[in-house]
Amino acid sequence: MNTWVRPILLVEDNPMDLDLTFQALKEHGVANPIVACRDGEEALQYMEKHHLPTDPQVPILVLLDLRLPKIDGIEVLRHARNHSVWKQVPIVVLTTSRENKDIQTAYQLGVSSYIVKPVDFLAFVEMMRTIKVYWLLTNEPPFRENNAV
Amino acid sequence: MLERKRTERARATDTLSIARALQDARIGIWVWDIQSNNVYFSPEWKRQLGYQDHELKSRFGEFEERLHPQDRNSTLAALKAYLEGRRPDYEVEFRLRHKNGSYRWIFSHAFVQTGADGKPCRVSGCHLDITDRKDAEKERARLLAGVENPSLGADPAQQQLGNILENISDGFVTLDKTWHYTYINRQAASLFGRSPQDLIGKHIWTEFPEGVGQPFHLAYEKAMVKQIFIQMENYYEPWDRWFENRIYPSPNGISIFFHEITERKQAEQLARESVELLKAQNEVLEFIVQGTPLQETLDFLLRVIEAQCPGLLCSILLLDPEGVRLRHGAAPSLPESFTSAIDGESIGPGAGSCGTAVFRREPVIVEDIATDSLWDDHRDFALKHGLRACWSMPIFDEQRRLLGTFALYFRTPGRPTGRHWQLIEMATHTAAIAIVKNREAEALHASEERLRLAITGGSVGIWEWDIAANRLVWSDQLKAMFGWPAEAEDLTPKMFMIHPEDSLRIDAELQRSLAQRANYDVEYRILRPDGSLHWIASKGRAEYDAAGRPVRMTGVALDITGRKRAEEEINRREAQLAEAQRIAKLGSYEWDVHNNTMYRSEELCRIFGLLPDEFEPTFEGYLDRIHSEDRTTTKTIIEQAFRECKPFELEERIIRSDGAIRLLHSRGKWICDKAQHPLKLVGISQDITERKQAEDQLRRSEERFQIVARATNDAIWDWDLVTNAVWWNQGLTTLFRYSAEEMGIDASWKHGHIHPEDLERVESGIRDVMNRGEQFWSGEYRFRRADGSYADIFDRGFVIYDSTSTPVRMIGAIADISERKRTLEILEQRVATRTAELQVKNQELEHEISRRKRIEELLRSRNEELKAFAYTVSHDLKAPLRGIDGYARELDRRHRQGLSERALFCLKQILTATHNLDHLIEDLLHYSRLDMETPTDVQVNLAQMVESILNDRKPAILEHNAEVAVSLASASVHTWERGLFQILTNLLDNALKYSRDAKPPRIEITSQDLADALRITISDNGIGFDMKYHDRIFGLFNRLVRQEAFEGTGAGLAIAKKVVEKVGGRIWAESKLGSGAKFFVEIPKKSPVGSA
Repeated sequence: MNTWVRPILLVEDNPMDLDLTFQALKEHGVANPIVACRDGEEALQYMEKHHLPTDPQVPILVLLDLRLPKIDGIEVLRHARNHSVWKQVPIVVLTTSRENKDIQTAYQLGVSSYIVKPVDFLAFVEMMRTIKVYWLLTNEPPFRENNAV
Repeated sequence: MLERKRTERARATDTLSIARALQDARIGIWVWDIQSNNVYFSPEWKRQLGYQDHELKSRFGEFEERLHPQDRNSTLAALKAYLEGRRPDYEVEFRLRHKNGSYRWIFSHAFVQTGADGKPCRVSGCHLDITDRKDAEKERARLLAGVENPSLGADPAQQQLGNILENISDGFVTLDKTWHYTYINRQAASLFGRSPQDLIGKHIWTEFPEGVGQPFHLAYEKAMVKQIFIQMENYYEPWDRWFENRIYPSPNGISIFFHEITERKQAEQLARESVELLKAQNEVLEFIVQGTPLQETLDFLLRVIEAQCPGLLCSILLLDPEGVRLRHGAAPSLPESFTSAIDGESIGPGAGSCGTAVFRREPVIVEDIATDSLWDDHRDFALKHGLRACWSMPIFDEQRRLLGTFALYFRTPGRPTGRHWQLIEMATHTAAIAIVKNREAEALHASEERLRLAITGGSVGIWEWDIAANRLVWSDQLKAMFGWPAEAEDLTPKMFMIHPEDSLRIDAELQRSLAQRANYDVEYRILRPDGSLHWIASKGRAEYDAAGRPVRMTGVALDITGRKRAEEEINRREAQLAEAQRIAKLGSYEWDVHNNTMYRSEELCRIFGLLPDEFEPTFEGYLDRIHSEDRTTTKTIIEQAFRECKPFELEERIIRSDGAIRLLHSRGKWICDKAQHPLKLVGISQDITERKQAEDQLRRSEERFQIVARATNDAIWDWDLVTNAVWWNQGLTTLFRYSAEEMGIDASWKHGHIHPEDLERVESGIRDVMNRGEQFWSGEYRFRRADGSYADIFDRGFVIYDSTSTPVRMIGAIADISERKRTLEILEQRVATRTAELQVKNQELEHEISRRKRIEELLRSRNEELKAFAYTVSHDLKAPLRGIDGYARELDRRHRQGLSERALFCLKQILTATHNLDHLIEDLLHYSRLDMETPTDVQVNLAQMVESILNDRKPAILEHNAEVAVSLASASVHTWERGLFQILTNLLDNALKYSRDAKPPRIEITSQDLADALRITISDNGIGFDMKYHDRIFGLFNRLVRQEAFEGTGAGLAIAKKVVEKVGGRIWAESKLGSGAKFFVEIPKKSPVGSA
């Protein structure tokens, strides 16, 4: 399975943020399908549903907001990192909080990267480009054996 | 054997001296040994017959063959009769043929000695040549016959006869039948001392009445009456002379030839006496040879001597072994009271005769005890016993060593004659032999006794080895020693059953002995048939033939198992002794004065810290090791002990070889000989350093106790549980007012003064402590004072147990706590009151605290809420902002066509506003975050911090050509790093911002080290501000300038202020509008940690 086929999972509840993220990604020509979960519960359900490394819906990257209704992002992160398969998936927290506490907890739980969303959209766009270049092109994804070279 | 030779030699000597005497008197001696038939003839004997000494042999035949035929039978018969005891003595006259053929008349006197079997074994005799006399007799007789016979030519014959008669040496008288003198020759007259005319015709007995009854009177009568010839010798006492009378009967009466034979008689007497003496001496010597006890021998000797000399009382005194006193030897005739008094007499210059004789080593002759000064001390005593003369002769042995004295006493004064000297010589000589022999016999006897004991006791075995025949002969004891029965025969060396380890050594020793012709001496082990192991010591000597080959070996063997075991035992004992000495730290020594050598025990050397050979074996060496301060004392004490010959005891410090000073307790004793001369010093020394230290400590602690007992107010008691006695210090008086007489000295007094209600408790308490074996007891009770009142006291005691865990002593102290008790009660009262008060206060406090706690809780929860609120607010506010910005941007970027200028302007405004809002929210967040944060202190280097801030601002600084002067030196402060960073950042940002229009902008950062704070000053040359707004500028979001003039939210100073307040510092500013501003921050040096 080729990497460009695997989706990017967005876990974000704010529609405007969702939309703007989508726009930014598209601006950078990200070909991967983008899947969105609107709250923590949905995210967990998605993880339950796609739990095998051979499942093509297991994303190549998760962009996770921490402020989510129902079940918040930290819980989602915890759950993912306790899962034998999802623990291997790159998860980047993308959130407004620069709180030390949140950063600490996220890293303790094993987040791959922690990014604070700028208000300035241009800056945001630039950031997305960096994310794309790093996580989609530079980084070696997990489950390589399942990807066709 | 030895004494026999000596006796013989002595005998020979004596014989010789006697012989010489006899020779002078012309007396020949003969001694006939009957058994061998050998006869000794003295040279005089032989000379009498005209022979030289060597011309005659020593056999009886020489005598017998020379006897005149007419005399032979009678002479031999007389001899035989005498030998057989039928004649009491042997005195005969006979003729012996002279060498020249003529015969000599010989007078012979002899005595016989009998042997141990009672048979005659020896005859000794003397010969006197009486030929002249005999011839004279014949002549007389012939003449006499002529006188009587007138038929002979009367006148010429008578004249001739008369001439002869007048000229002969004999006296010649004739008596008629009526006893009147008819003729007296000149010689007779001279002998009588009367003239012939005077006596002729006189009656003999009228003229010589003293002759009546004398033997010659009887002989005259006999001759007259019986008309027989009588020849006789008689001693005429009135004249003290000897005469020989030849009485010839005649028809008219008797004729008498007489001549004086006093000298001859004396010579005969001398001979007789000498022979007697010789006989006596021989008898004494026989006694000696036979081993007769000394006392008996000497007694016999003295009796013999006394018999030789009537009136003589003699004694022999023996010198004691020390050579100081004379002891009684023998004195057969002296009274016992005299001899017992003399016994033990000491020798000296004025100690009677005997003592002086020994002292002077020469004879001492006291003619008359009554007058001689030597007898001053004993005169009366001697005179009481009737003794007047005393002659003492020292008795010497062959080496001129004094053995004793021979003393002669007489009841009349006098000096010794030749005869006496002869006796003395014989007596002293013989006595010497007897004494010496006795001593030797005793010594020999003792050693013989020992040997006999050894041999008969069975512990000495005798062996003999015939080397050629290789045959062994063993004594029965030796066989028994080896465990063989006495009957065992044909013993060979192989049968010895020697221990295999020793047999090689024995062989080697044997070879060595034979090769070197030395004594064979070896010790070895044997195994007896019964299996027991014994140690044997064997010694022997070989006899060699002329060629030097060993032919025989004889020796003795001793069972030394006992000795070997004893040696082991001794070694063990010595080891034990050394061990005991070591344990007791007791060393012993012995100093031999003459050799000046010291023996020291191992332990003594150890005490001195020396090896035995390091220790000088002299008295000086010992003294050198004594501490210099004690040396003189020690020496003096030892010398004094020596002078008084007493034991001594002293303590001295010695310096060990390692330099340590040790204290020794020494005891010693001088061992002196009889004359108080020192021989040895023996003693023991003990190292008492530790003991002394312990004693000192004990003494000191005892002193301390005494001082404390005196110093303290407590009544100290010491209860001896064994005797029940109690000792008190004077505290009993000071506390309870008991006088010394009233003080009770036993436990019952003490316990009797305890309040009855408390007594049981106290006694049972003490009992319990003792039963449990505990050491400490204390208790409070009431004790009766001298005035009868009771004092409250606190008593505590310490029980001491002995090695069997029995309580033996209890020591304690009583403190009067009556005062204290009272005070205590008052105090307790007060305490109770205060406690009550305190309790009330406490309750109030508790209420207050819980109230405050509640407030704190409230505050905290409020704080938390605030935190959460700020957090939520900023995040929730930011979300829509993102939206606004995002979409506005999109519009601006993607949908510009169709938008008017105004529309674009609106978009720009929207974006600006969004950014502002974003900053505000950030600052707000920042501010609230600072608020919540707990500062932590580190040492902050100001210069470094400022530099890093300025580095970050470099672009701006360069852009505006700002001059930044930093003079912070080594300023550093212990504070909240992040906070300080925030403050400086904000102030610097402001400084840069508000001075950017200055030409050029100038910013200065300095610091000032104050006593309790660090003051940082940041000044700029910017726009400044009106001081009336000083306080406002530190408020949140308060600005004094317009947004379009200067960007910013107005949170910087507020944030700085918040931080400053958090670290407990100050922040203020000084400014003039248009002339820049100075901002001061003071950070306290000890920054109090702000509460959350």
